[in-house]
Amino acid sequence: MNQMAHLSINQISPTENQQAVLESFDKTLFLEGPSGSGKTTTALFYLHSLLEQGVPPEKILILVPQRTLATSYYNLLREPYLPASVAISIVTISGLAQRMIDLFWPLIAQNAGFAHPNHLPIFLTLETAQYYMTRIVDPLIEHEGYFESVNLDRNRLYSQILDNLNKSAAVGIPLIEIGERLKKAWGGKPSQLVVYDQMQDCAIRFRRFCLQNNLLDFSLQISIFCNYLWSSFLCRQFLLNRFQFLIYDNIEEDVPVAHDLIRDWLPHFRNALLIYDTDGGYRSFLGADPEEGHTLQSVCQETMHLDQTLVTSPELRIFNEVLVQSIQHRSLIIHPSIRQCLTSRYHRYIPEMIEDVCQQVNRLITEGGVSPGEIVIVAPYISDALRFLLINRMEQLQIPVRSHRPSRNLRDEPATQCLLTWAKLAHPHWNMPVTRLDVRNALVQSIAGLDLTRAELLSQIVHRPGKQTRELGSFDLIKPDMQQRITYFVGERYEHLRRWITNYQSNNNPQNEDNSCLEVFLSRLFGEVLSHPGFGFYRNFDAAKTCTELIESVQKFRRVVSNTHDNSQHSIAVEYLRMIEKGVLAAQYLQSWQEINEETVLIAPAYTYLMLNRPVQYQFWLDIGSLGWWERLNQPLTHPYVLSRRWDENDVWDDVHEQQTNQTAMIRLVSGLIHRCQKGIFLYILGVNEQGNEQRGQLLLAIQSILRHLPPNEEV
Amino acid sequence: MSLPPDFLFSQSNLQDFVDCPRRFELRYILKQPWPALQPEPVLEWEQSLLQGLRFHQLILQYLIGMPAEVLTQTIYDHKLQRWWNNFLADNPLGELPSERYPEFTLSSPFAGFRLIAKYDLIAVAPGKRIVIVDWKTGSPRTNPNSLRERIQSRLYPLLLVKAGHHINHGVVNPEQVEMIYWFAEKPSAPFCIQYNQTEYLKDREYITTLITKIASLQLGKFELTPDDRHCAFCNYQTLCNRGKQPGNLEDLEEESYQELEDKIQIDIDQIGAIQF
Ligand code: SF4
Repeated sequence: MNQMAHLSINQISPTENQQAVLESFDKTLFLEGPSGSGKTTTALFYLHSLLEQGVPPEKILILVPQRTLATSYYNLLREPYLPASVAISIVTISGLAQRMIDLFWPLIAQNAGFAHPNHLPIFLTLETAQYYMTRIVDPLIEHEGYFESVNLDRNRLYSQILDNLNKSAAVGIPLIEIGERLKKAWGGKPSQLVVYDQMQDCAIRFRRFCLQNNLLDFSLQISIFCNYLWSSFLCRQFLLNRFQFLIYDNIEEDVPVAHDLIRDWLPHFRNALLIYDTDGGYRSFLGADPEEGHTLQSVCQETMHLDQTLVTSPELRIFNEVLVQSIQHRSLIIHPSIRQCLTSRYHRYIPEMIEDVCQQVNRLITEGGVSPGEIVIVAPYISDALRFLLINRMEQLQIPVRSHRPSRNLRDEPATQCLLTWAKLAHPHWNMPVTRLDVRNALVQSIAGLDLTRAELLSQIVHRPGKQTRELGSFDLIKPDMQQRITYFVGERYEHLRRWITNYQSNNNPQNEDNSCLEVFLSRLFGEVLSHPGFGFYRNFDAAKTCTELIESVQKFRRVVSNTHDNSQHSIAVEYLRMIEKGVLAAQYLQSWQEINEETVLIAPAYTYLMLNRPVQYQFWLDIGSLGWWERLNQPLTHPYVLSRRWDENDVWDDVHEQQTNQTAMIRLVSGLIHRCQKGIFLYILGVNEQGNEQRGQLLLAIQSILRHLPPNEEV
Repeated sequence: MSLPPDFLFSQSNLQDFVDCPRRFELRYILKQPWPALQPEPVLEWEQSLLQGLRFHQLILQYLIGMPAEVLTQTIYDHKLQRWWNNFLADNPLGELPSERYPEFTLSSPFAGFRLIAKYDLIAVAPGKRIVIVDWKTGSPRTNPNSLRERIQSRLYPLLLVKAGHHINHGVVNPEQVEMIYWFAEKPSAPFCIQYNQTEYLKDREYITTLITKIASLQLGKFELTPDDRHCAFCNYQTLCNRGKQPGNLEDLEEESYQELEDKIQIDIDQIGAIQF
């Protein structure tokens, strides 16, 4: 693990083992060890020493499976004491693929089957790929009865088909074989087989549509890079000439085609350090294949092991061993010392648990002198409601806190809904319905100090959804007694907003495309009205952030969709709004991976935290009875284990497989967490969860077996 | 001090500070997102930014060995076609040293922090001549002095002297360094800067003073610019109460265009995770 999280590399010295790695130049080295054993720190020393020896930095390639895993390298390269140099390339396989496609597109577009090789490639984001998937799948659902037997939210259905395309590319299974593979592994009711056929059909139609329109989703980017570019002379030579030194970290978290690429590329590097975490594999559900990654050892000239964890206390190490034994139902050898690192707490309801978590965090900071950045709160899944309650309470206690989630639900933010309500009202020809509730909520957001009651009154009077005209009524025409109840202060602001919209409409020249451009409207409304004194977004930095992200989402959508759609801004805006309503867009707005302030308490889903690769002193595990620690998501259209190279195609997935994989995944998860913890873990047991259920999952049972042998510190 | 010790100074953030300290504070220290009012017509403005990006990309593709005729077939836009034809006809690469480093990033410790710059092209005759080329797709400037005064013209040669020894196969002497701004609209009138020791010492002192000043400022002490021409195309216009109408594309002065064109550079940095 990374000793460097808080120290600069010039403040620590390499251990003996690390020193041995630094001395192994001009060879390919496979370095393995458990989390927390100092592998990434070794790589940082290694990188530092390469630079000090005058290796041309532009010849160094750092490859990681996910950008968050490169944080330590970015931090090192920003250190002022490093010598002057050229910037080093830090990439993921998909970043590399996208860049190479962008550069060498004209050479491969035709052979790869794109219909317009002389036009530029259009890279799809998660959002825009989902959008095109809706265009393929929706007509099939509505007119041909596809997926009738599947009880699943539409958006999850689209994303599982995309997931299958991605797995096909990342694992190297031909796209046309995905459905057949899933069918062969299926041992349940025969009615599911047709679902796999329909999924296969949708995936192929999507791929055809992409080829027809020069669209490249993640799966196509990876396939094109591996199947066409890597074998193209110019691109291959470019990469071989460019890079001579490789650091490939967390190879256990990468996908098999990345391993294939490096296996092929490795003999061309002068030096290479490949780093394997023996506890890892957290991204298996995304196609990561630790076993495949480990096969790279055989093509390296030397292997070194770092066995000792440098992070975790001896008590936590024992706890890890005992917990694994308990999960595997083996006989337990319990040392009472592990009580020192464990605190178990029981609460019947969520609010009590939240209060206790916040009080414990506060105590650690104020009485224990622990830095907020040394505390993390994890659960397998953190709902928006739970996140909100935790953050709110912490802020009341003046605890610096941040929440890290890979994506956020932008469309449900009140500021987003407010902006989109005014957009619909300002463009009546878009024919997008606006309810009175929408207007009431938009008024509350827009006018500073307006409460719900007066907003309700005002919206009832000025907005008549049934009326022919969709114009907002004027405050000046409201009866005086009612004006008084609403207050003239509110009336004045409302009138300002209403007149701004009316002016906007009357200046709306249909010849000017800007006028139908949704993001232009949004930025003008924000800049010219809502961000001014007396309005709800005045000095409201959160609303500004939401508005900026919404505008970005609209822009990205417009730039992509204008290539395949009726090109008028009007119809693109309407399409965007429709997709927002369906939950296809702005539901998973990707957060910047760099937005991490290290001096705050972190709240994150457990797997997200593991991918930040950042140890802390204390961890809080919420609701350890939750089945989420054990079960994987219900995915009726895909299967992470069947669509992997580990799967024997003649096998049928059954309960034994399910039990084994759940057990392995849970052991990996809890061990990963413990290996990233230095001092203590707070375990929270909840009587009734957010859904009103009492859950007694496998993790709770395993922990209870241990706690039974320990002196109590709390009622359990 | 309000800056983290690993803050990276670049031409765009230093130029932002010179133009408006408050903008520097909002953008790089507070990292405050704020919806911008774009120059109108917005779609036309966006189109011209994308054309600029595409032009940089075409030259990069050409430099890594893609045949010009293959690249020409991918152009469907008149303005871009004109720029590209100008590039091929003028052949600005012809006079340059033969070792070429397109889209190249250098960085160096400086005044307690790190400086970083991404160059469109560095062409090197090791130990003899080293030329920085910057492709400009904005309107050619009439006043070369103002271009000479921009941070880019001072930082790029300075950083090359400090960090370019790898590509020069030895210490870079300021006298070896040239910088060329090549204008796609006016290929016959590039703007060239011949660097020298005196300029180097002057720039070194200037950038040091600038960084020292920024580092010494506390949060809240970054002043709003007194010159509100810088506000016309700034995204914080409404936050600072410096007007609430976006600038018009036609009114975009060269200076402001330059400012916005610098943002293209930022966009290029964001394309993909790899720098070439
Ligand atoms: S609007 Fe003007 S004062 Fe405000 S940050 Fe921008 S340039 Fe500075």
